[in-house]
Amino acid sequence: MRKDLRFALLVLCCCWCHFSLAQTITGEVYDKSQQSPIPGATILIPNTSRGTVTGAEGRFSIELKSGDKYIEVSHTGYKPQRLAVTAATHYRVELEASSLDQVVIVGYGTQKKANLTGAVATVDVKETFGSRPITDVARGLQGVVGGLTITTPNGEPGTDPKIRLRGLSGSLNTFATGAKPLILVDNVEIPSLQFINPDDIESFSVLKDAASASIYGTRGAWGVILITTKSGKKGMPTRVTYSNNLAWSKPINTPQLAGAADNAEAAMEAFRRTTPTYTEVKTVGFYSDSLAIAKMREWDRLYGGQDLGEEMVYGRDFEFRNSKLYFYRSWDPNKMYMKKWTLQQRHDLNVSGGSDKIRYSLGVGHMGQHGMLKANPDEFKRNNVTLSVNSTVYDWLDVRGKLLYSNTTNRTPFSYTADHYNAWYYLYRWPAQYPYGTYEGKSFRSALTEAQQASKDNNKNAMTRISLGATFKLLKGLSIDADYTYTSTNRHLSQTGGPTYGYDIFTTDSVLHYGNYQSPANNTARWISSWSDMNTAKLFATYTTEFGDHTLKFIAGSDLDYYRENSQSSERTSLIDPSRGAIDLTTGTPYVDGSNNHWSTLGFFGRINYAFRNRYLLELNGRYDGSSRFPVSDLWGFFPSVSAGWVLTEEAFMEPVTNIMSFFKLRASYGSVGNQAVGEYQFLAIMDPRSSGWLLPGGNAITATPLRAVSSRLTWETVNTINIGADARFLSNRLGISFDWFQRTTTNMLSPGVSLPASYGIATPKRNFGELQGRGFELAVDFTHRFANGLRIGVTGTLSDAVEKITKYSNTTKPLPSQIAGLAIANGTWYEGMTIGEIWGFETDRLFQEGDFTVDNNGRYVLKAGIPTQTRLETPPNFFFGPGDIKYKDLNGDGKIDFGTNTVDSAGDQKVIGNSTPRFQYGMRLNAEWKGFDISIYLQGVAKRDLWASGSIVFPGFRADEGWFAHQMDYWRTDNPNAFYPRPASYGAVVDRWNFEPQTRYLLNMAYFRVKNVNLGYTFSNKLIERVNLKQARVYLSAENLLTIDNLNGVPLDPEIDFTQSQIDRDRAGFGRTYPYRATVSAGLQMTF
Amino acid sequence: MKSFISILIIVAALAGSCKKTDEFLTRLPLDQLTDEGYWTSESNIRTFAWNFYPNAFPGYSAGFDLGWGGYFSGESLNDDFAPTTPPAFAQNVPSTDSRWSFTFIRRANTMIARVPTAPISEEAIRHWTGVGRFFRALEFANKVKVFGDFPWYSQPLDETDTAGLFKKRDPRTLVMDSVLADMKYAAEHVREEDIDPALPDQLYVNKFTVLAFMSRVFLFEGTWQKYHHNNTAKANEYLEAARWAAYEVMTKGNYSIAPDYRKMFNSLDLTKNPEIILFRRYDVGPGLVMHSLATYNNREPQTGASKNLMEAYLCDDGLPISVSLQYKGDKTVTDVMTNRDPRMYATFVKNTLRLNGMVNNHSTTGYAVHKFLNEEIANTSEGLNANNPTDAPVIRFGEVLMNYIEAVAELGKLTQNDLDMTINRLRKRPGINMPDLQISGSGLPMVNGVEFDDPGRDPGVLPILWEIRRERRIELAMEGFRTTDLRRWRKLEYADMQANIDINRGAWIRRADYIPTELNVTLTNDDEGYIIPAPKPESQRVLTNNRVYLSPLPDNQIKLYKDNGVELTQNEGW
Repeated sequence: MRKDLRFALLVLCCCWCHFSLAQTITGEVYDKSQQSPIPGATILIPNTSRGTVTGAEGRFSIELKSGDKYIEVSHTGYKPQRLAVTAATHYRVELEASSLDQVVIVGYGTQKKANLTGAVATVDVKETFGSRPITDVARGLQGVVGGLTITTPNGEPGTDPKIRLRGLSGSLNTFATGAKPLILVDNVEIPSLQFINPDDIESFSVLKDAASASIYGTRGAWGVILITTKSGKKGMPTRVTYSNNLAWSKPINTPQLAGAADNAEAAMEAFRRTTPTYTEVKTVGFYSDSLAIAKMREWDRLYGGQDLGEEMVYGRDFEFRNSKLYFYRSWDPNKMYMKKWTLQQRHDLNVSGGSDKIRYSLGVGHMGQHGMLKANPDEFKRNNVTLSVNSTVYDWLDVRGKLLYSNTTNRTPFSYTADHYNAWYYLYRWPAQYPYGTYEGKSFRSALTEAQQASKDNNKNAMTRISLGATFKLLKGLSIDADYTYTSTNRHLSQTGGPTYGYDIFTTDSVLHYGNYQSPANNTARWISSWSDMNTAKLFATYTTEFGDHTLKFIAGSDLDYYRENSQSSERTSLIDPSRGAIDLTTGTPYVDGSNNHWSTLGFFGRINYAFRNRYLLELNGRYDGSSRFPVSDLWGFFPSVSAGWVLTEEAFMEPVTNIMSFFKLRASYGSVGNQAVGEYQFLAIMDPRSSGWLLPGGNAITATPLRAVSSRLTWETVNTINIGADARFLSNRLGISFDWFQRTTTNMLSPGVSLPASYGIATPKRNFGELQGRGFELAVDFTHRFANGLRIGVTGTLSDAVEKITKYSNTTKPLPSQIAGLAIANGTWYEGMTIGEIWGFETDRLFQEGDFTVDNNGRYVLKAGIPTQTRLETPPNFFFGPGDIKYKDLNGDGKIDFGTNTVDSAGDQKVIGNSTPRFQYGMRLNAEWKGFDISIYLQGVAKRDLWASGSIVFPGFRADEGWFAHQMDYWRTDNPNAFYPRPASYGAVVDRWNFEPQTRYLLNMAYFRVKNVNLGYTFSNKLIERVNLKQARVYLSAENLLTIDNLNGVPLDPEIDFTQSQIDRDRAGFGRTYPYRATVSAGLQMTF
Repeated sequence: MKSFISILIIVAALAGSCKKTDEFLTRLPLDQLTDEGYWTSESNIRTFAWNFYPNAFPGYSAGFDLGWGGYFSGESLNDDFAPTTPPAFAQNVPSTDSRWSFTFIRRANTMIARVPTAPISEEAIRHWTGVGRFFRALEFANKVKVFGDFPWYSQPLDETDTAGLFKKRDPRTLVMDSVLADMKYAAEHVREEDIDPALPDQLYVNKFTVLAFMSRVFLFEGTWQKYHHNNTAKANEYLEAARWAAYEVMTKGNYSIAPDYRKMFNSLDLTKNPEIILFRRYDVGPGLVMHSLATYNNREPQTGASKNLMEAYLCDDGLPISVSLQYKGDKTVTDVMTNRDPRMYATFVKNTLRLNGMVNNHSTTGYAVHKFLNEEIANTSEGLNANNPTDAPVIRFGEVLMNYIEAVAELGKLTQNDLDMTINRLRKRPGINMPDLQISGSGLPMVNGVEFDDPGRDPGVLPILWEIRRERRIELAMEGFRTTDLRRWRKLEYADMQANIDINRGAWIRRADYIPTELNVTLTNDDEGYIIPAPKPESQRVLTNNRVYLSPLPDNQIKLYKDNGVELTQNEGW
């Protein structure tokens, strides 16, 4: 590392220019519209190998020989120009920017945008990541690339968003990951985008269709994201850039509890339905009765809004009556637990440069983010170093080396409870009078107290990557690339539990018990470590040739990956000193666990690109793939693809319209890719070692559980994609439209081949039987215009959609899918014809009113004749429908509301009421630039997404004795017959019943429109900054999530929220009770020296 | 250039060596085993066998499971418990039912099929086959108990075996005959000692565990055949099997009556307890298992015992309250708990009512259970939440004695000697010391040579059998037997709250003795009377249809069979 640095510095000192004497011409290359010099532009003398590149100020000089008639000036993203050599010795060249001439990174090479035949999207790195207070790459990508769905389950720092391309699942076997594209940084997979500093990114493209992605084979079944990091450029003088960003965030859309008295009244109502004599609500160890409600109201009247400090006063804030505990004072857990504003900062420094022989780039970055927690502040940090050196050793040999090191540290208070019942779950669990203050200086048992007293978990992740490679240029047009990359990741999580001291009000008996209330199992020191090694080797040859109007490019090669990961955790209870969490400072029972895993892939690939006068374009791909995910007899698969393009504007007959439509290309592709993301060892009858739950004196007896019955032959799932697209540019390229339509069909999908009865006794073995089909489109528009007065405006926008359906699946009974099937693909039930994410439920008519009933002798409500009965939805003796309850629609007109057999063919009155797949996702950026000022507004949204959620935030009365929320107080009473929510009832944490059967009325509409970012900048004029030796300087203000428009009807959720994976896997009751999303304002500085 | 060529040669050579690509691509699991190659040693087979334990022997269950494995009010659909909202009898045919499951049947059959292939001694093969057959028998017995007729499988099914997969239900006697064969085989071949001699005998299935469970299973089936099908031949065959198995345990097993009744239910370690045949161990720590039953006897509100159960306890003179002169009546809790069978005090908090509105940890009837509470850890975190580490008895000698005596009585062979070997041993437990139960020449129960006949007796039950059933209810109170017992005796009408209103009554109290404004109970009269835990008529459980003796089969399976041209018959009345 140190050596590399020294080498780079040595390179810095080298001078790159050496002038010849005779017939030397000089010149300057400028951007035509910006009138700014272009460094790094290439000057070539056609039909020779002589050339040079422009320097920092866009200047060049080149020696001419007799017979040289032209020079050719070109640069990425500009239309090339050919100049005739005249007697002049100095030339001024103005190049016209052209997105069609941008070079796009594609699989194993580059391609001019105009010549692309597949569905490839590029990301404007500067606009997308440049001056936004975002902490990771993925969050910045929302809405930027059509077809890419970025979702986050909450706002917690340091968590990876889910990235999925063209639909959510791809195959039913991708499980929680979904249709996640392969993410390659410098052509090698990266374990997490968290490791990548947005500032290090040079280019970013997304290969969407099979024809583009298939060269990456097996793991690129759901597309490929290609990221290249910065490296030095030929002829670029030393450039130092520094940028920073200081940001302040505040939590948004946090759940708001109902007032204590309102809460208790609602709870009382709920319990009185079953027990009319109910006089008090018991919440863990404390009570609310009518006197308590009066005292809560009194408290609100006397002290509401005052700052009484945290110390609670006996009699005023709480008391014992008849040995029972009552609290009267309302608290705002958000205020107690979270800060108002929290700071985040980023600093990035980059040094780069290059000569003819050597190019280098060195980047150093730091990102530090303070979390929202006030009680025991959490934080997330990332540090990274990137070094890249390329050297032209001989005419025929380039060598390169790249080093990428990144580490992240996440420090959060130790959690005493499982992830799905974490501190946020408890923070929003209790009613407002739950005591977050102190009594006699001591705290009560609460999420706050636990956070305050907890040690901090230290979660450190590091990635080191070393890449070595060489390019051999043997013949003209032929080059061979060999690259080897070693990636190592390490994760170390240390956790120290220990006691929490508080008044334990979960179980009181006439006095307050103060003491440690944590389980001895939490009095533990724990280390969890995991590490992985990935070896990637690639070898390929590229040959380009031109004859006449024909251009041909061949690529053939091979790549292989070998990956291995290991993990272990060890812990021991009984800390000697709870403040010192070391395993050797414990005296209890040790507990260890571990896992090991590995896989390998190997593939051979070839590609032919053919172009005729840049008018007719053809690309053929083939890949022969092997994967260790499949049985030895079925290791290999061959996957071909083809794509073609026709640039109509190159045709003579289009001549008349070219002044309006400057470019028009039609594209089509078809291809297949193997999918190996089907889970591990599906072809083996695994005996899985796990804890049996039967304790022996030595601990939990380990047993081996048969996981599955196995079908004798299993092989690849094949993903076939048809893509049809068009690219058009109008008005001298100022307006561009690009459109793609695709159909992605996953055939041979691993799924049960037949429906077997329960008597089989184990899950039905999987065969290559099912089929899933996704269809959708992506639209991208861009427009830019520069007015005569120098004002430049630009608009870019994307809109995309994808829907997936199961087109073949063996399931004869067709039970209705689980309401969150689209989120938890592994938990669902599927049938042929099902749309992924569909939600079944009743259609809500309205609330029942008194007039719908008569009252019988026992005082029970009896529905009047003619109103469909809902008896089947009742649960005697706990719940009978009455006034204020939900009246469902009798869709099948049989006079009763029921579920039928809960199957697709007999669903009773249920129907598909929505879909949880995000639909019609869009993003739009508006920007303008004038005299150094720039403004950019980024808008993003999802036009359609439904969610049938779960838990107390969305369903009042979910656990009636616990916290209710402010928005839920609009419930039915005789004096509020038109309420939104029904008459309270106690649901006992059982979802989907009574008034909250899945239905249209309470289906969450998660569509939203967000002003994601507003950015205001000023670039200082060159004259001003040259004095301080700066080449460029810009200051800016940037804000995230400034404004949100949603359709949640007051439900305090962020519209982007989703179930977290642990909620899906375990208890879904905690939905919405998670780390909040944030709104951020920031200021930053960008300087180039 | 030359170096380029040499590099090219090296690369070509490397590529050539990749002929062993299949080897490179074969990556078998590093931390998992496969079926093929698993069944190679006794130790591996034993590892597999732990699969069955928590399923077959849930003990107090784990974590916050409020079913507590069927203990305490985990099974409250009977006449012992008086909840505020009593569970009703099943009313609808469900679309799915997790109990219609063959997971453990398949696992047992897999074990039985694989064990003989293992390179171990013939004796070891017989032992482990016996263990597999024991678990298979238990699983099938449980299915028959719930659903009645049930398809019997003796091998793991192949996915192509359509006939087997869509087999019709076999008659319950066929299944139970097979269960009997399995149990007999297991009783003969399962060892008395585990391969690890250091492992406490009460933590694994040994010969006596098999026999003890055999007595439980066939007492159920014998009485079922007798009371539901009037099939005397089968009833006698099964009752005899139950009697024999119990007798084997009584005569050959090294078990005795524990010196402290309560310590079987609230101990941190049951290893040394002489009455415990099998227990589930609990311990606090990462990766270990804890439960929450003790917590619910501690500071939590609980579902209380009914007046009916409290009245079932004898007076300490051995006579029912209806005839005993020792009975003080029920106008105060002290009266209720004076001169009674001391098992009452071991089960319930003595002389104290816990009333709703007056205390946190109230009971719906006032009578609070403390059978499962360990007072030593009651105020530590181990005594609260789901952190309880007290061990759970899974099967105990006391139950085997009760199985024996009931089987003998049902067989019509009851003698005084049988009573002395069983009930009277339990009554002599230190701290209990209840008078012996005797049988007179005319077959009536006697205490101290005096015949008696409980006027509260169900006239359909013989007086001596009535007393045996009472003893079972008392000795095994809150241990999860009552509902099953009512079902096999065809006496679910006892659990009808309108026919048998005493099961919806709690303690008798006077409102004025408490703080009337705080007291949150409904009484039979305004000022004083019995607590009515479930006052709303629509909340009360009634038995309207005898179909509830068997559970309905889930719709989805019936439809799947139908789609495949096979009728899976639904239980009668559903």
